Amino acid sequence: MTPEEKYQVRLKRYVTALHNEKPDMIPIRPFVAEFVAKYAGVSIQAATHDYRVAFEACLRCAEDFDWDAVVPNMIYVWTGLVQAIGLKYYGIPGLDLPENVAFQYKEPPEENAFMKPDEYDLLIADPTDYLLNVWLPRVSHFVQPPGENVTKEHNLALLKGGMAMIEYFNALGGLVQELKKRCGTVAAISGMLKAPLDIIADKLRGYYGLVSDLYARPEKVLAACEALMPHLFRIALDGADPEKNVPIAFWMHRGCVPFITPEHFRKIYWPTLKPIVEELWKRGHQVLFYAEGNWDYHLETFRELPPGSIVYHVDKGDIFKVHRVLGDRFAISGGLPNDLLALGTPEEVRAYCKRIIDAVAQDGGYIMDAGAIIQDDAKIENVRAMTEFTREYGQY
Amino acid sequence: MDRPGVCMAWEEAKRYFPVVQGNEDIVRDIWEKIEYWPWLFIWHVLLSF
Repeated sequence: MTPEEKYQVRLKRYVTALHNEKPDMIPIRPFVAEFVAKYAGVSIQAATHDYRVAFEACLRCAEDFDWDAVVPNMIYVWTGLVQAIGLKYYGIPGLDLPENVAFQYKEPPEENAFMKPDEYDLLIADPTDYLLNVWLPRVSHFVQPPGENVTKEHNLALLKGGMAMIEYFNALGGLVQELKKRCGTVAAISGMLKAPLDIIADKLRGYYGLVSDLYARPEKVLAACEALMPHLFRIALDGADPEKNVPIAFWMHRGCVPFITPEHFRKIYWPTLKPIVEELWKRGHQVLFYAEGNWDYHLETFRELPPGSIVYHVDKGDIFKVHRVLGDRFAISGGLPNDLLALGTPEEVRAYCKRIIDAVAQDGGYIMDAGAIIQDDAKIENVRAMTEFTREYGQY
Repeated sequence: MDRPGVCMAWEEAKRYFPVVQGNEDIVRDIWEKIEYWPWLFIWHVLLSF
């Protein structure tokens, strides 16, 4: 088959499974991140700091493995751009981390959070203005707030950061086309979504700050989440697949029990997320719930969403329970433990894949993947075992 | 003012251009189309980077 023919077959297979139907065989869609650097024999620093190296490593993996879909830039942070803006919250491989350690997030202690507890009204009144004029100068070594002296570093950070982001997104579009033309592989997702409450913890107040606020000023947290909603919706929509084939990725962080209470989930997290997902679905876009960690407590709540509107990805959750609770409404992906890929043997990987396929994939609606993004700890022979076994045993 | 896709709306910016001799709608439209880029930048710094 030509790459174009392969692409069409794989796209049909993947989309059929996304719609919770039965394709010709189980699609394989590993979210390979630093694994691609390991496989291509390049350092993590090279792949993270020079996106061209990461893109080429991704293409090489897509050519060599019989995967239906991949995320083109699962090493999703180009640290060259991060350095240009001077973002303080990253550990960059090769700069302030050893060259073969994946990039890290550094969350400041609560008293040094990037957003102060008395700044909710500013954020609520105009989130974009707050981000540009208060938050960005705090998270950047270079960007100055209004009223401060403009410096050479300030001007350069904004110019370089803006231009570099355009360069990166343009290159990403080219990679999607290259994956199709050279490898016949589908870009697995398009666009991104995060929950308002997660954003407050991730980048603004920090997790500890958010949890304090949920008790000290819950009405402000709710209002802030509501103020973020239209922007998060627009970012998700603008990045979505215009063909409406592949889903928008929704990266789920610390919005679940036990990170927050059931009450906070019910009163704040869910009411400020659900309308976004419903509106995207009304416009024909599925959302991939990338449920990092364990979100089993909330499975019944997720059933409130329209059938087919989401694809549910399992990390540490119980994939067999997920299938029992959600399988009649949504397709499921993942569930293969990452520690098995890192520490297990190919035989153990094959046995686990068989368990999943036997229990979850019999009626279609399942996409093979690890639980979390696949980093450089995964053994190449184990990723190969996952791929080959699924191809062999996953035929319908 | 808070509108997705815009950092400084034309209503706020027009004080810098008190006289528009031609069609203000064209000026407004292009001003706000270019406004999209800094909006996209800051929200992607928040969400993606």
